[in-house]
Amino acid sequence: MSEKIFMRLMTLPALLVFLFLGVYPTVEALYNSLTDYRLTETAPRQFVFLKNYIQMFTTLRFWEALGRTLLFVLFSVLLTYCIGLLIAFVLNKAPKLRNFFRILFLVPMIIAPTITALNFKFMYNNNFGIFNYILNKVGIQSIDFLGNPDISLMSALLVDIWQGIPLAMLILLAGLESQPRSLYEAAMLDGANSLKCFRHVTMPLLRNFSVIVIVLRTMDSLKVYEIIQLLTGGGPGSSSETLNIYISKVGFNWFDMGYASSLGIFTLYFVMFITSRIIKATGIFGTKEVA
Amino acid sequence: MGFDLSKSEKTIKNILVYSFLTFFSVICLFPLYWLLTTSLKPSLDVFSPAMLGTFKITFENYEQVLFHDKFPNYLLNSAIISLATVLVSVPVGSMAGYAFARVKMKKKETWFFIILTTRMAPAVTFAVPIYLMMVKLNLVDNKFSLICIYTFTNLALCIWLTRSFFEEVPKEIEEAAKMDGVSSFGCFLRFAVPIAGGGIVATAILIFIFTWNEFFFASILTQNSAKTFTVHLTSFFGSRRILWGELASASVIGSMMPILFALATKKYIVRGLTMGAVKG
Repeated sequence: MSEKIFMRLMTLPALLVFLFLGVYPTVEALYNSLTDYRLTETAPRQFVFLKNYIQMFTTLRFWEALGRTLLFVLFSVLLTYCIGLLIAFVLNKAPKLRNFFRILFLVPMIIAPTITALNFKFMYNNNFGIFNYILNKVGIQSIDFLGNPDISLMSALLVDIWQGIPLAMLILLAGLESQPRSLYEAAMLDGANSLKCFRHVTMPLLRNFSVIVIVLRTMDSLKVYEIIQLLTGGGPGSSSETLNIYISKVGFNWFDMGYASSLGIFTLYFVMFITSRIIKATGIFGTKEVA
Repeated sequence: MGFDLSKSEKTIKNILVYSFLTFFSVICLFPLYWLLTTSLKPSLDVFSPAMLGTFKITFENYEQVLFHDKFPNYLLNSAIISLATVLVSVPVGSMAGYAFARVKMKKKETWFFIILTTRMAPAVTFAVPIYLMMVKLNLVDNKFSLICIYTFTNLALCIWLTRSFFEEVPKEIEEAAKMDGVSSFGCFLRFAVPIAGGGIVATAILIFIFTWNEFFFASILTQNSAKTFTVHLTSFFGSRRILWGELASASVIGSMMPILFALATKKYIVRGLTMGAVKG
């Protein structure tokens, strides 16, 4: 058996899985998005061409959900990156116990998002939640974390950041650990202070690691579902409704499968667009081919 | 940072570093601590802010959840589904990962990117057609359908990780074995897999944890017989009241699995998470 055929056979099972559960659903969704498919009606689905897409682009609720998603992703990525970097930096200065803390800081990441969301719902509670209890103790008035439409999305964002920091920290720490100490010694000899070292040695060397963190965190925060769904259900009203929550409402509460499919196709395109932009702008996949 | 710090300066630096790390540990662990505290409170105290040690610890919530509720069934479902997903996706994924590591072809990175898009896409985008497909195949509320879906959602990650681990295995070993008449698949199974073993274990653990934690697909595709524990957690929200104490104890039990896994395999899990990401 030739090497080429062997390698093809090795990828065959994976290919079949992708075909049946990736390609088929995407094609099916594409088709459904052009029909008026509703689960609540027994009449066969009718081809309506771009009606669902027109409905999407003319619905204010869709644009609001999109805007919220973008804000959510932007702040989530930015803050997890900065905090993750800070922690990685400090951890890199602590040779003792570093591995102990590294494992400990993983905890938010490996607990089920469902558990995290429900637990935060309990802690955020307006009447008996521990957060408001602590705030009251230090003389701050209670905050209605989940019931106030102005801050409900922020409350969810906070949970996502809490969950996202470990991944950023882990990757950036691996980046810092891979930096040769001799470079710093040389920079120090040239009279660079800590701040200069950080700007001109640490950060440039961390570039690829930073890109990976940003790509992964963008992907993860675009995916967020449980945290928002279980904390606020998109509410109050639709004040914390992101694209994912909106789609699942349209599809699984209102059973408007046609419209939900068009939203799904849009989101799929949107996510691929954003990530491929980041990847292209930073050339992370390209550099790999060169290296 | 410097090398000419005096002893006292070093001590100050260490105090600052470790107090910062302790502070962040508190942020990381407080929610879990509070969950544990709530789960041990008698039902009258659930809403009180009492800290651990200031109230009489009771295990009634655990008793309720473990012996008077179907929670153990759903926990078992989660375990079966996660294990089956690992057993299917890891062999399938490492075979493809191996091919990706070894084969030379044009546009390899483009293909790789296409595979990765399945990891990028929010589950919701696939949910509607997959749900309709499972309805048609009469596989709603069936463990098999969830195992298939999780195999798919984790496959990209699996290929991504195993590829980087196989790339570390020197080709020379396999080439030498081939000279001795070992088949291609024999090379893969007898040389590449054992050498990349640690990485494959790391991959398997990660996939197990991700599957164990999954909520979205389980919530739309199961009702009772295939229900997983994450979905069951939401049923402690009754129409009239929320059983916080029981929810907390069920959550503590549900968190044990990933945490124990992470502790038992700390090197591997850190390696899996960082290497996979960094090598990607």
